Formats: sequence, C-alpha cells, structure tokens
Amino acid sequence: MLSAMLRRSSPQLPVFIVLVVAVFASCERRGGCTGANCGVLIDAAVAEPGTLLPPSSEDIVATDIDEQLFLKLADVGMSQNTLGDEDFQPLLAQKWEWDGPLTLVFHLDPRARWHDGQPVTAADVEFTFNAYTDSLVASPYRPKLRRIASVTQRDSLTTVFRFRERYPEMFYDAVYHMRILPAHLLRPVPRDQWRTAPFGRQPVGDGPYRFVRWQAAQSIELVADSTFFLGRPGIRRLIWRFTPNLQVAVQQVIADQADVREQLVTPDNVKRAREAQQLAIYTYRGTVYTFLSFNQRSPGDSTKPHPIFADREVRRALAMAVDRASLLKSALGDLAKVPPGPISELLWIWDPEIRQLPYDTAQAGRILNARGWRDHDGDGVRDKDGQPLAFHVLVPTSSVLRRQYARLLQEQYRAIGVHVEVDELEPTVVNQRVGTGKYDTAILSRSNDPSPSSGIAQSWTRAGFGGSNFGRYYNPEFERLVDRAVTATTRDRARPLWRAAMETLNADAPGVFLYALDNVAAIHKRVDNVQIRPGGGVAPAAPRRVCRDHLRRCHVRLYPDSSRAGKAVRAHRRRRVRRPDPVRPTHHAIRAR
Amino acid sequence: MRDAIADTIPFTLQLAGAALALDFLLGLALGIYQAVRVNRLPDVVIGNVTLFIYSLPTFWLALLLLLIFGEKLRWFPVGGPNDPVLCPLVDSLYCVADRLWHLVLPAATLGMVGAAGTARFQRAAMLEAATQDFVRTARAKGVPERRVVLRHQLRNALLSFITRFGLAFPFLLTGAVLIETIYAWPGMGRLAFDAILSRDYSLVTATALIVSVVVVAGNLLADILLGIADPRLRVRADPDAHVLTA
Repeated sequence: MLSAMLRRSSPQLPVFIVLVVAVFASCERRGGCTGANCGVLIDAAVAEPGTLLPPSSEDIVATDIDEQLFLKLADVGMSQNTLGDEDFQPLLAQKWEWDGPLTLVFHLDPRARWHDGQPVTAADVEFTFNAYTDSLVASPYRPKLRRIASVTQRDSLTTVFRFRERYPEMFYDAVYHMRILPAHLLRPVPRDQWRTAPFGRQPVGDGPYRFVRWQAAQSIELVADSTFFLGRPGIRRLIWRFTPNLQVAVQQVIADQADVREQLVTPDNVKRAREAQQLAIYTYRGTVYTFLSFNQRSPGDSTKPHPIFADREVRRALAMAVDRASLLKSALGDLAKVPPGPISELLWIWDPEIRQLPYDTAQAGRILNARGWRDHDGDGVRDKDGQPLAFHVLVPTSSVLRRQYARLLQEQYRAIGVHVEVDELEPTVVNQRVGTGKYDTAILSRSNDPSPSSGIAQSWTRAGFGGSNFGRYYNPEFERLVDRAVTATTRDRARPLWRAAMETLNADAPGVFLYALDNVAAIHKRVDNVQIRPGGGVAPAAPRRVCRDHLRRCHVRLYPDSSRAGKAVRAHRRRRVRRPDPVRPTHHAIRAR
Repeated sequence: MRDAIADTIPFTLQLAGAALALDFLLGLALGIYQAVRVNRLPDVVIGNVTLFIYSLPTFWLALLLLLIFGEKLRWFPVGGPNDPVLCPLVDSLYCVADRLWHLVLPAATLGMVGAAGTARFQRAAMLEAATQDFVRTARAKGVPERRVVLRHQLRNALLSFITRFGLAFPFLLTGAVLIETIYAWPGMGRLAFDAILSRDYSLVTATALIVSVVVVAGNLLADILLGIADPRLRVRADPDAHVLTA
C-alpha cells in the first residue's frame, strides 16, 4: 500500500505543495471593515495576566487592558499634576464638588452603562471602595486608600467620599487607585475567591471597549463599544498577543505580526526595531527604577538584625563600591539614567542634583577595614570573626537585564573583597522570598505612581513594613521629611522637602539605585499621531481615528488631549470663578460636559 | 488545572502530529533514496547533511529558522498558533489553513531533526535488507528494481522504522517544551515549562503523567504495528507459546 501510495503520489506531491503555497501566497486578509471606526491594533505582550479584575490585577498588561474595560471616576491629566483637582479629566463622574474640607461629592454621568446594559450607579462606587479596602480581597491598592474614611451613596447617581484628614492629594486618592466595578455582578462572589473568580477572565466593564475573548497563553481581545457614552472609540478591535518572553514579542513586532511593543528594554532590541522599516520608535519617560535592595533584617527572622546590612557604614561602603555609571553604560547605553534615589524619571521630584554617595572604592575599602571586615586569611574575601563578607543576590530569571547586572555587580564587589553569589530564580519565587524577608539582597524594580507620596511612603517608611518596604529601612528623620513633603501644598514647597528626604535616604544606603529606564516603544507606522501619556504607556486609552482595516495606514490618537473631556476641563477653567485650593477645598464644581 | 491541560493538549498533538509526519515521511524517503544510491554523491551529501542536522540542538535550529524565515524573509509567522485578527478561532477552512501555516516552522524544527535521525536509521536498515537472500532472489528472478526496493527491501526494513516510531514520542514531547516556548505555541510543553518555573508541582506532575501515558501508548502502538508488519513477531494463542516466536 505504501509503495502504491509512493508510486501514485510521487509526481503529484510537488504539484500539491506548489498549489498550497500558491493558495497561501494569494490569500488576502479578510475581515477588513469600512467606515470611520475600524481597524485592529495588536499589542505584543510578554506576561499574561492572571486576572482582569482590577483590585487584584497589578501587572502592566492587566492594567493596560483594564484601562479599556473599566473607568475611573476621573483621571490624571497630561500634566500629571496630582495636587488638588484642577488637572483631572472627568470620566465616570460628570462633575464633582467639595462639601466641606473632608467631603467630596461626585455626580456620576447618567449615560454610563455597564456592558450588560445596567446603569452605573453610586452603589457601584460604594461597593468598589468596600471591595478595594477589604482585607479578603487583599488588593495591592488598599494601603493607598487608607485616608478615605468612607464612601456612601446619596442617591443613585451621587456618591460621597469622606476623608480622615486634609491633604493636597485627597482628590487623587479618591479617583486614581480605583476602577469602578459592577456591584450587581460581583456582589454574589465571595471576596476571598475574587482572584480566581470567573469574572476576572470574562469581565463586564463600563469602558470604551468590551471584552470579547481570552484564549489562554494566546491572546485577549476587546472590541469597541459602539454605545460608549463618551464617544465610540476609533479602533474597532484591540488584541493583546501573549508571548513567552521579550525576544519573541520584539520579533513579532519586527516581523510585522504585531503593531505595538511598549517596551523594547535593551539596546539590541532598539537597534533591531530601528532597522525595521515599518516601525516608528518612540522614547518616553519610564515609570520604573531598579535597585539592589539590602535586607537590614536577618533572612527569615525580622526580629534580628542582618549580620552585614544592619550596619549603616557597611551599606554605605557597599554602595560606594558600585560604579553605577559604567554599569549603566555597558548594559543599557543611553537607554537609562542613574536614578538619584528611589524614583523614576516620571516623577516630578527627579533631580540629578540630589546628593548621592560617590563611587569611591578606596573609601569603601577604608570603611570596611574600619568596621573590621579585612582579609585575614588571604583568600581574597574579607572576613570578620571568621565570617566572610559574602551574600546572595536574588534575581528573577525573567529579567535579562537584572541577571546581567547581578553578574556585573558580582565582579565589582569581588574587586573590593566581597563575595557575591547570584541566585537566579523564577519571578514568583523571588517575589515570595523577598516578600517574606528571606533574602540578603535582591535586584528589584519598582514602578512609581504619578505621585511620589504613596509609593515612596509605602516602600521606604515604616508604613511599608510587612508590605513593600522589604528591606525594612527605617529612619525617623526621613519619615519626618516625607510627611512634610506629602502635606506641602504646592510642588515648589514640596520639592526641597523631597530633595532633603532623598538625600537622607541616600546617605543611609538602604540599597543601590542602579538604573531608571527610558521606555522605548516600537509602533507600526500605520499608527500615527501617537501620543504617549506620561506614565501610562502607549496602550490606546481612547483612540480616536483609525483607518479602514488592519493592513491599511491608520490615524490613531492613542491618548486624547483634545478629547471631549479635555476640552470640557479647559472650558471649565476658563469660566471658573475660583481656583480650588488643594489644602482647603472649597465648595465648587467642575461641569465637565 | 484540568481546563489548562485540556486547552493545551490539542495544540501539542497538532504540533507533535505534524512533526511526526514530517519526521517519518521525509526520513523514510531520504533513507530509501540514500540506500538506492549508496556510496554515490547523493548518498554522501545527504548523509553529511542529515548528520549535521541531527547534531544541531533543537532550540538553536528553532531560533535560526525563526530568524531567517520569520523575521528576515517573513515567509512564515514568528509565533503563535493562528492569526489573532482573522482567525482567533479555527472555524473555517481559511483558519484551518492559517493554523497549518503557523505550524510550519515549529513542526519543521521538530520534524527536521527527527527526519535526519530517521533517514540514517532507514538507510542502514535498507542496506541490511539488501543483503538478504530473498532480495537477491527477487533480483535474480528479474523483478523490476523499483518493486524489489519498495516491496521486498523496504517492507523488511520497516521493522526498525516502526520501532523508532514508538521511540519518537518521548523525543517529540520533550522537544516540544522548548519549541513551544520559542514559537509561542500554547501547547502542553509550554504549560509544563511555565509550571516548572512557577513551581506549580501539581501541574508539573499532571503533565509528566500525561506524557508518560502517551509514551507508553506510542510504544504499544509500535508493538502492534510490528506484529502486523512482521508475522514472525506475533504472539500465538497457543498456551504453550506465550513468548515471541522467531
């Protein structure tokens, strides 16, 4: 039979292959549509989110997708000013007013609807706040809402926020951290099961895009909501295509099989993307800084000091032994900057003039000698009381850059007689060990909110013990300066306070601040008029115009500064009688539309 | 976990099936061709090429093919199982073709390495069969050369081929772990890889168990096929003969 088959097929087989190839080659992509609201945008994403439920989703991809599905009451404007309420753009809230110094009243837009047709009500806002602050939900945003005492509904479209205290970023805290959730769909779900709830994989939102499908390990697709109350989005479909790693994602964009790669990360990827003729390269300020965290407590026992890093002078010496500028040059070229503290370039407190510990290996050696860390046995590694000056660096296997940095640090520390072991572990294991304090040092990355107030306080003050202050750094002077900076009424007043706080922290060397990446995005040239919102990435929040189909040149406004909302805010400013005082909120309203 | 595995098994079977088909069809054809032209230029060239490919690490070949045919020439997709724009689901003939198009590079990577090995085995088996008396007799009887090769020589040389078929399952399934990761193919290999990285022990155990079952099933199938191909290897119903007879 086989021989017969071979005999029969041998002359036809090449013909068949040629025919198949010809059919493929001649196939045109179908599914193009016509009209003003059309087109498809494919984002090559690396990490597939676990859930799309906003209180439980913290990673970048989930945040991007949630931005299209779930609205906030209002959002920070292009200025990124988080003080007061004047630079915020209304979204779900049509207008708002201060009812006394501690009470903020939002009036919801009556046109807002969930994608299942139910109206968005004040009950949803109240439910959302209760969910975000519920310990069973364990939302990472919960600490950021601690200064809001309650959220209640006055009527079906009016919701009232009451604060525990007055501070300049009351409005920011009220609107920025929470995406409003549908109470009628989530109320029956037990709160301790939210992270695994089916809703998180088939969400029903109220944003410009509706959820279509989630194919595990492949893609998530959204489609424009033609009835969206703020105007139909320009791009008809958004697809996040998941890849196992950064290189595959970059390759997909270069091979014209995806339209957007938000972060190219390495100089090599940027070079390859620049060589692809169909791609345009966009550089924008990053939200992330990366640092070597020193755990000041004994690994696994936070009641005891760490034998090496509890000593401030030793930490300073280890910080001085790192030539951050040359590390950055060799690993990242001009794609990043050495951060002047625990801040990304996005933050307005970024200031290269902030005083930092110098790179001085001679001084570092002298300090270590003075603290008793000398090479007594001549093995090239300093020791003290028979204990070698050696520690482990944790790095996630998923980060090429951090692994590279770990090796470079290993070499630099070897030069001053410090032995470093690099532990490359899977990210979840790194997170788990760092979260439970079971580490010596770790190369960690942190993302900043638009405001320094919540992030820095959570990561570097006592408020973050048991939370994201993994290394348990504590200095009362630093905390006092942060408290004062947080309550400063203007940026001009806050800036010197933040600077003093950063210099205090730098002097204590709770870590070595290695690099703050400039984000570089590669976007297909058919997508033009791209606007990148500071800190928001390049995911299309509210695209306005797009071409006819996937393969045609498109005109997309990824972020609207001339959207209806933006225009309304500017119109409001023109006719406003009295400017809102961020510290003394007065009874006024912003009529958005 | 059950859903995750159920979602990924079809993709792995598609990839392994395509790779297996390529492996054996190409390997068989090359082996026969080499045996027919033994010690001549085509045999030497193919022998060296197959040795070279057989020596290549699968992941390296995958990256090479991806770079050349995916990124540079753009003949094939660089990853994923389908076109997410037009065929998020396989629900039409076009989407079936699209799935096959996406299968080309990963299946070629797995299949080519396998085919190189198969060709070398098959060549050796064919040459061994060529020395058998019945082949010489067939030629002496004036049976056409094509018939001698395909009917007499190949059929007897198929035994090693079938044995190799059973042994190919572990290679394909373990090879799929890397290939699925490199080509963003959402199969069980990638699932297992992610499970290993995230220390999801129950998922790792489940995937290992499934792979084991498939390997055993593959070997069982190979044994059955051997019995069909070679009557001498069949087990007799005779109670006194519960052994393989030769």
